Amino acid sequence: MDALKEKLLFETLQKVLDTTATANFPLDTIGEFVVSDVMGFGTTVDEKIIGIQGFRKLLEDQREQSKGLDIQFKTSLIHRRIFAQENAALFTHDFTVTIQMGNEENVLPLRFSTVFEYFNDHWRLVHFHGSQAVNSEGDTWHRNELIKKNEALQKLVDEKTADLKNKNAALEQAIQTIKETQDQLLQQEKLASLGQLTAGIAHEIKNPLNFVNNFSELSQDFIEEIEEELEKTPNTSEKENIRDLLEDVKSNLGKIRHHGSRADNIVKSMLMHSRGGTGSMDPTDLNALIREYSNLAFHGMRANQNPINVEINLNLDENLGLIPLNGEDFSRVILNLIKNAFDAMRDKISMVGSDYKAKLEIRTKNLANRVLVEVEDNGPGVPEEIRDKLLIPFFTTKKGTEGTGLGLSITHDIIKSHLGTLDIESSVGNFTRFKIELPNSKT
Amino acid sequence: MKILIVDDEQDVEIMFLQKFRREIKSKLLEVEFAFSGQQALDYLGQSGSPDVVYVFSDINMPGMSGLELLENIKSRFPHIQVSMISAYGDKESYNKAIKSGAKGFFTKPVDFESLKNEIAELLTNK
Repeated sequence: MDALKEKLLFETLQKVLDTTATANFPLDTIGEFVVSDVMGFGTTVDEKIIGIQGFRKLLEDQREQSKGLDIQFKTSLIHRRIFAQENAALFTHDFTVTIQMGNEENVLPLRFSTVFEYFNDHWRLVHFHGSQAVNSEGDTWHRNELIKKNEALQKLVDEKTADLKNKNAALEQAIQTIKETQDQLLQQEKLASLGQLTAGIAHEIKNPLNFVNNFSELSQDFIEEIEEELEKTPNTSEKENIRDLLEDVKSNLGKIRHHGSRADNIVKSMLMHSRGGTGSMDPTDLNALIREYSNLAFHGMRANQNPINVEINLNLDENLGLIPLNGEDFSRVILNLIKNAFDAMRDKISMVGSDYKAKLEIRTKNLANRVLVEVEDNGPGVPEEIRDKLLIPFFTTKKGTEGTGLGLSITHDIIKSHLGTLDIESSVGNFTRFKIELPNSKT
Repeated sequence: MKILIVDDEQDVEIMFLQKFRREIKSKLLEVEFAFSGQQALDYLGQSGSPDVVYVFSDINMPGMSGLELLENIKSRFPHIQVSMISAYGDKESYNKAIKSGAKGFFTKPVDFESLKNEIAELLTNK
């Protein structure tokens, strides 16, 4: 091939390569080196070009899609062949496109073949074919490539599945938390409405109950009067019988009276429960209140049924200062806790015998912004499983007629109305410690 | 001596009559009943100067409450003693009653011993 014709061929080849590789290549000039019925394939399924307009469209699309991208092109010739009496030429290039995306470099290894035909003193592009080699070797039918792809997909699916599983677990955890919170709210709601309900019930029950109590008391009085009158009549066997019967009736009335006042106590506690937070808060000498009411509780216990021997230790912080308290309400807290301690220790005495020495200690301590009150007994302790039930209204471990199950619940309510907290620490067989924290005068 | 008991619970009448049976029998005491505040005022208003010396009134009643009745009686018949009898021993009602001129405040169930003492005191002072 003569030198001029060869030079022209390489110039034409370079132009074809430049249409893609040079950003501002004048597309209007492609008619000079591309035949009008050029045919070729791009690298994507739809890039099947027939005619020069299609070729131009392909170039325009490339330009459009390159906007804003940092693209480098590198070509290197692999093969060339001149044939048909030196009027046709075939070239094959490696056509490497490097696209910079952020910090990531994407390399597109393309192959590009072009066929040129020489006529009318010009070389022109008549056919081209771009393709991308799959990343797989010795694998004609892309089988391994497919397997690789599948594996990659499977791996991705596995990763996503694991991810989803984790997220599911997190969601389940969240749902669980929400459910628990909901249960707690429900419980609180129930307790709140129970409070209103108890107030209502208590009011409604109190009046008829008063009649039961008053009339039974009255009838007891009358029986006594009848007995007095009866004594004035001559002794007969009938009189003896009447006296026996009256004795029974009197005893029955006593029972009515006894159980009536039991019910009355429950109703009173229920009313106390629902009343809550009406009293005023006054600066109070908490230590003095504790001294007074522990003394009262002790003597009350000694004067009642089943008194026990208890050593009471008061360990009071004299730097407490005056604490804002509703004295009337808070004295109930102290009384309730001490009374519970006495009851618990009485149980332990009957369980383990007289070797056990009942001890009650009440402590106060000034903390930074709070005061701490601890009431600790060395009684039987509270088993873990019922510890969180202690504050629920009507929950009681005391048998039969001994407890209403409202004492600690009321105690807790009163402490809450003082913006305080109540905690229970206990070790079965060793001790129970009720810890109250209240805001002090500084808060 | 006549006292007036005001309570919307009608069994209260029987209870008081039984409780003060002896005093009533011996004519030491006369007991009248009204089952509402209005009925009580109607009774007191019948004569210009009522012979009732002491009114014991429930607080929670339909219509006029015991506390309203108390104020009403105190303004119209200042010489009549009034005590309240309530199922609720709350401080608020107590303070209100005493401030409005109540002589005493009894909680239900009525401790008849203290009530008897209160009336006995009246009888001896008479």
